[in-house]
Amino acid sequence: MLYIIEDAINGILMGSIYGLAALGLTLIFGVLKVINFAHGSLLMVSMYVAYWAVTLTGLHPYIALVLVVPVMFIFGYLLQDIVIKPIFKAEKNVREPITVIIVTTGVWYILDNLTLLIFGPQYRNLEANPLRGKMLELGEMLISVPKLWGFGAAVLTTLAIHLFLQRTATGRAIRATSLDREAASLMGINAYKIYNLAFGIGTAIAGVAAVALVPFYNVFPTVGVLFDIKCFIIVVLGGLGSIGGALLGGIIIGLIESVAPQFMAATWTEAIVYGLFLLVLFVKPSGIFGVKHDW
Amino acid sequence: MSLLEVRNIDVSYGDVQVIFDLSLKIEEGEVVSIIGGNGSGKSTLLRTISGLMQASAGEISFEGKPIHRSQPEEIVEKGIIHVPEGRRLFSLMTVLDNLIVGAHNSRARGQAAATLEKVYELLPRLKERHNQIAMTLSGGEQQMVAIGRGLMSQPKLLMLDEPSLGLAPILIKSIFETVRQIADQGTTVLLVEQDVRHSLSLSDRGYVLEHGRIAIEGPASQLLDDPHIKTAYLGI
Repeated sequence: MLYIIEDAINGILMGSIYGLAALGLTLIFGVLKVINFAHGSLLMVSMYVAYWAVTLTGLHPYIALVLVVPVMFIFGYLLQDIVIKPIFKAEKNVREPITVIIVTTGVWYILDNLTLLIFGPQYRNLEANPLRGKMLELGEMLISVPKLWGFGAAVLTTLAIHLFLQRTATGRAIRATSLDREAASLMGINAYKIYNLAFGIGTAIAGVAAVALVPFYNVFPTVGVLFDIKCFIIVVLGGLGSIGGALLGGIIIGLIESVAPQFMAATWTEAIVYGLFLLVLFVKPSGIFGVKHDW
Repeated sequence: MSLLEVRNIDVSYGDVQVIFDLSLKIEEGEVVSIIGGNGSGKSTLLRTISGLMQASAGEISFEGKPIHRSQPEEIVEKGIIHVPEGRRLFSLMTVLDNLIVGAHNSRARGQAAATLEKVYELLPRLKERHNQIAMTLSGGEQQMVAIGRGLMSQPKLLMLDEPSLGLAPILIKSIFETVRQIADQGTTVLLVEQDVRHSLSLSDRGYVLEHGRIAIEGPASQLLDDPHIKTAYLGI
């Protein structure tokens, strides 16, 4: 019984980090109405930035946050402004331009292969960091300390993004654009600027997730692909565009992945995850927190 | 110099031309109605003025400066606000958030709190409902939010596209009374309507749009007595 509780706690912690990774994806989808297939790759790039920042400076891994977040914000902002915006402009009258999805897929391949070219295929990890393998002893239970910090980061980031969207002028402009792009422009909101901003913020959140992951997770050129698929499932589970839904969806996936192997072969967990994914699509396609809304 | 001057514009959706060589003028402080049936090009005209569509020929100037090459958000900055057909509220946001977004432009943002008080005074219903999600309001209330949101931008020219659309007669009356009040407070209003009698009776001047061309123009009182308008639009 104790093992199950221990696994459940660690699953919730790891799941919240999945949710953090998915948060950027759901934010970008909510505003641009386009699935960003490069999201996992942006997470991968963030992990490399964090890895090298820590390796080269020798500072505490979490200090990398002050570098990774602004760097990834600018990276995402420029990526949208230079690469994706022209497609939106060319397809001005299409609400969910499918060509943008193809472009983000192209960005995914370019980023993954550039990384492979530059850094090689090897797995890297921060070997000598103070958080590696660190455990918190709770009676007889062992809780991973870096995952606990990751959980804190996930909850705080989710809360911060929620408050930003609800309380600030820019947040309102982002919500307005996500609900009706044309009406927003009639209110004086430059939709393309909002897209850049949302893409930048979404990528910066991937940066936060990367900093949370790097102390205990391997860094390699295709690490993003693992998260890509998880993020899509999480975002659909929680509801596309729902900020709180991403965190909850992540925790559900984390729980299944860590508790299910207690009862069956670990390979079955994938089947449960995808089964749940299909079930949600059948029963409530808008997701747990998703609003029944015509995107 | 007129506040708004539209000179000889042509507007098309792809290959289909909707507006032909259309010209009109609006002076400061006026209330002008544009009336016409479905498909006459009324909404297209407003969409072109507000920058959502581009005229293929002709010019539009506001306060003497050309605006026909500007983006919608730049035109809002200059002081033209377009309250679109079908209200187009931010459906999942509260009434208050909808209104605040209306004051997004740099001229209005700093004075949003004061403007909000004025809008509440004009439309007290919005104050009662300020925390309600916009899509849960009735049609008439939604139209009030749309007008209030437009006013929040401190417009010099308020363009209303069929504010009476889909409303009960009693609500139509109160919407038009609100429009009259807005005009009396000094805002120039361009009203596009199918409800010819109501809109002309509160306007100074009117234009009749037929198949994308101005068919008749003149003082509103004169248009109300025009035999063609009587038969075609008023059914008398």
